[in-house]
Amino acid sequence: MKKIIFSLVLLIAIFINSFALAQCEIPKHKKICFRWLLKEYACKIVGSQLAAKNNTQNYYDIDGLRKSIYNKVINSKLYYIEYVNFINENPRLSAVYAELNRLIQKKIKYDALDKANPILIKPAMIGRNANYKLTFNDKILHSFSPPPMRKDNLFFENKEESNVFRTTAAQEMAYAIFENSENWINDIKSLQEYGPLIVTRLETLLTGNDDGLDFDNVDDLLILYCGFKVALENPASYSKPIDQIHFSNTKYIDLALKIYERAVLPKYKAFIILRIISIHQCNYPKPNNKKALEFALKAKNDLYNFVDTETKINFLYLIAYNACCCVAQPPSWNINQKYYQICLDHYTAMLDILKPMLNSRALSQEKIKEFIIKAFYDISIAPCVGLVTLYALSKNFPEAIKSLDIVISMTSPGEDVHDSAVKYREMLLNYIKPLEISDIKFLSSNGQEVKWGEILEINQEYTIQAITKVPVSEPSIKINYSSNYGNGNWDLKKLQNNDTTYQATVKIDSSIIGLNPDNKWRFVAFDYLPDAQSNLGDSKLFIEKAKNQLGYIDGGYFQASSSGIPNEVKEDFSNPVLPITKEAFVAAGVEYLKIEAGNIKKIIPFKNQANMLYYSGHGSSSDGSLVANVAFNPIDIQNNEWANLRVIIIAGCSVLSLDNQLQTPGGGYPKDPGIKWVDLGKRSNLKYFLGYRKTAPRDNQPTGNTTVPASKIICNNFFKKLQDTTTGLRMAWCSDWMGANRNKNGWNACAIEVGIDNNSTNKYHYWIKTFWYGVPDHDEIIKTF
Amino acid sequence: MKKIILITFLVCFMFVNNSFANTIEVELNYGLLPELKYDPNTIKEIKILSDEYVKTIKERDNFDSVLYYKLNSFIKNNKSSLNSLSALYMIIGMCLLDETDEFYLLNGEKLIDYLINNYSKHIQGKLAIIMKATLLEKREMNLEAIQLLEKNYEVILSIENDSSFQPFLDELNLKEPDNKYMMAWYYYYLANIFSKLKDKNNAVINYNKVIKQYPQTNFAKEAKEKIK
Repeated sequence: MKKIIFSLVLLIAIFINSFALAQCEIPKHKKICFRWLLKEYACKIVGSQLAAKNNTQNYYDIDGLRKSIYNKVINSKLYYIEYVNFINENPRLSAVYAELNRLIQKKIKYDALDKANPILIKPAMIGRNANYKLTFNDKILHSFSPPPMRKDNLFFENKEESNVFRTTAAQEMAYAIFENSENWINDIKSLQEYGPLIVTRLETLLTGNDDGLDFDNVDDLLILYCGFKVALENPASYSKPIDQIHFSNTKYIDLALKIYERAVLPKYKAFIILRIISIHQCNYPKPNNKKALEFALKAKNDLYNFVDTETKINFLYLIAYNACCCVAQPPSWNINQKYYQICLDHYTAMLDILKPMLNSRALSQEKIKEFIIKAFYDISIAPCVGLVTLYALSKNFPEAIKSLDIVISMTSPGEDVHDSAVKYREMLLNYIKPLEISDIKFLSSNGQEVKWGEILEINQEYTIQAITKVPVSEPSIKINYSSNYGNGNWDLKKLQNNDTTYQATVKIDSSIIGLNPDNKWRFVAFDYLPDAQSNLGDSKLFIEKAKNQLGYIDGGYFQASSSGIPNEVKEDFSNPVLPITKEAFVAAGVEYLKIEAGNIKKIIPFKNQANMLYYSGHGSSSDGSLVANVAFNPIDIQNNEWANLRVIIIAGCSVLSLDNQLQTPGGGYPKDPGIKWVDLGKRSNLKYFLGYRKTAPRDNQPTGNTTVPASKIICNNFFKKLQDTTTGLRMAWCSDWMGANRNKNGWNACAIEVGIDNNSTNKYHYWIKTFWYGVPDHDEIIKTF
Repeated sequence: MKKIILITFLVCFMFVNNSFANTIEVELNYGLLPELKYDPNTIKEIKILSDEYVKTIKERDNFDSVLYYKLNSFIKNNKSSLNSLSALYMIIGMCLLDETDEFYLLNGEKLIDYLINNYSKHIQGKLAIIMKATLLEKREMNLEAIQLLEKNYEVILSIENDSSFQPFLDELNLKEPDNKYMMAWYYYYLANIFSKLKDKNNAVINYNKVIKQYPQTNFAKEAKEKIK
């Protein structure tokens, strides 16, 4: 029965209400316009939140629309009713009108409190008894104000849009406190009257169990709390509005920490400590990152296990960020290992949490990406921080570049962080480029730069200079050296007052040059090109065979030419060719010291006498000299100056002839130039002289049935015979040389084998023509003398 | 332009033709009778030719076409004379000279084989074995040369006792005294080849044979130097 009566009353009320409203309706076209206005407002609000967060033009329109709607609703009951009807018809859009509702409710509430407009004291949306007289407590506890619209409230993707503007009980309390503090605390008297109550309520909110406040709420409340505390402690400092009373950061932190200690909700504790960290980070004039780091570590220690993932990431980020700021300080920029490790560990931990979340919905992908980028390269503050900075500070440029590559891959051109990362990457690439050396100078003890062709002595000090292309800051640079068996590096120090020159004085001794652990034989080759009939074919073949066939070590290649025939003399790191000089003959072999610094290479010949010398060029039958661009005679060699040489091959005319002295058939030179060579053999360790007693085959001498010149055929034959020597037997230098020449081009060949001492006999090998039984042939004759 | 090409062609043709003109065809088939006889009427002529031959091989290193034509003519005119074998021997000798073309060597080899195969009982056929060994050695076929010499040991051993050996040496004007010690040459030559082959042991064995068995010869003297 009661139900029937209640329904009847309700129907009558609706009918009456409808009737009353029908009496004074908004004209239809105006109603449509108003509804269109409401829809436009809704569309622009939704659109701006979803797609155009930073579109100021949209917000300008929205503000205009809001004002327009507000004015209509506030000034006309009919429009107000229409407004309420529209919202009730479109409940999905109710959240969109939250800000407008707040403004309207605020107006209604003030009007009600002022009793200026008792008609609106009971609006449809609030439903409160119009005759009830509100107390101050009521005003605090029951006043309603929806939260202001926040552009970043879409942070949690899984939060439904309709919840965005939903207020919690704690928030309602907070807004009430704010509004009443603003409206009722107008002087010191009202401060002292209501202030303690508000402080108590604030403390209750911040340290209670109601977790309905968000970070901004807590932040605002803390400021208000501090304002009241400061104003109550010193009423003279009171000013309006109360939340803008000045107090120091220290005071704030002190009060905030007290709330922190009393707070029971980890969430609020986190909010409070994050604000404290922020204050230290933003400390003016100089950020106090060490203090910020201290609180960030405290936050992690106290709260890490009790907070949500986003807050955990925030803690890790703040620790890493502040540690990064402390890793290296000017002017030394030395790395503090403690902060380095803290920073590295926390950025790594942050990434360990974030990377698996990339394809989850636990956090918005945009936010995850933002955090990952920040972990690598955070340009939101200057100087930038992140792993890139950490690696760059520790000069680990490859890792820094790898980190930048990740940032570049996650961002797009045009984005500040992308463009900055690209530029920074280029800069770092320049750092990891090897130091560019423009020149290396090798100076002898008199300070003169060693020129190509000079043959240096070991066991002396030399100065090495490296000149960089551009001034560099390094106090020293390393340059590498190598010889046949030795290698190492030298530390060159920067010269004072010279930003580009590095220098070191080094002693080149037998630990660098002259090592021969395998006791391999070494060879040296000289080739002189006196005329167009000459070429380098035989000496090149000799080098190739000696090196590859016999496994001998290259002891230098010397060349010279006349009549404009080009030679190959050059300071080439791989194939160096030295000019023929008298000193080169005396040295009879070199070992190269190879120096490398960056892209510059230098090669320096040091005297290291070979065991076998090959000479291709003119020979003088009158005095036994080797006639190249310089004349070299055996008498130029002092006793024991050729201590290492054992074999000399003279692919030149006549100089070994002893035909006159030994009365050998077929000879033609009366002066016996070979005597000087035999004499040299007696006063040195050179024992085998292989050459010619008359004309030697020319470099390009044709051989009739083949295109290979005679000199090359002889060279090939010689090495074949040397290789064929039975293992374990002494090299048969003379007979192999004679055998190699056993053809129509080599019948002038001869060889001298000098006895090991003055009492020993020497041997002279030569060919004679024979006609045994009328058959033309040649026989190798050996004459002892 | 055409004229230039024609002239160039002609010059080239003449040059090529000229180079061919330097090489003469060595006759390989003289149609000598199987049974040759001693012919005293040709001795004088063959001695003149042999003097010229000895002079040629001492003084020059290439094929003497003038002498060849004389020898060739001699053989053609004396197809039944033993002295034609000596003339043939001299033609072969010229083919083995240093500066001769490979063409002559090839023809010389064919004539050597002709002598060995057809007149092995004659002194010229026996000495052709030496020629063959020399030819092989020239071609660096040292092992083949040794095999040939060892295979024909008895033949070469018989040369010294061959009644026609000394008349042959006289006929060819080969006056060196060591010529009569065929086996001294044989061992010395074998030793040289062994030496070339780096077979020191066999080389020394053969040099020592020369030294011990033919100490009076120049071969022994050279052998001593070589094994010092």
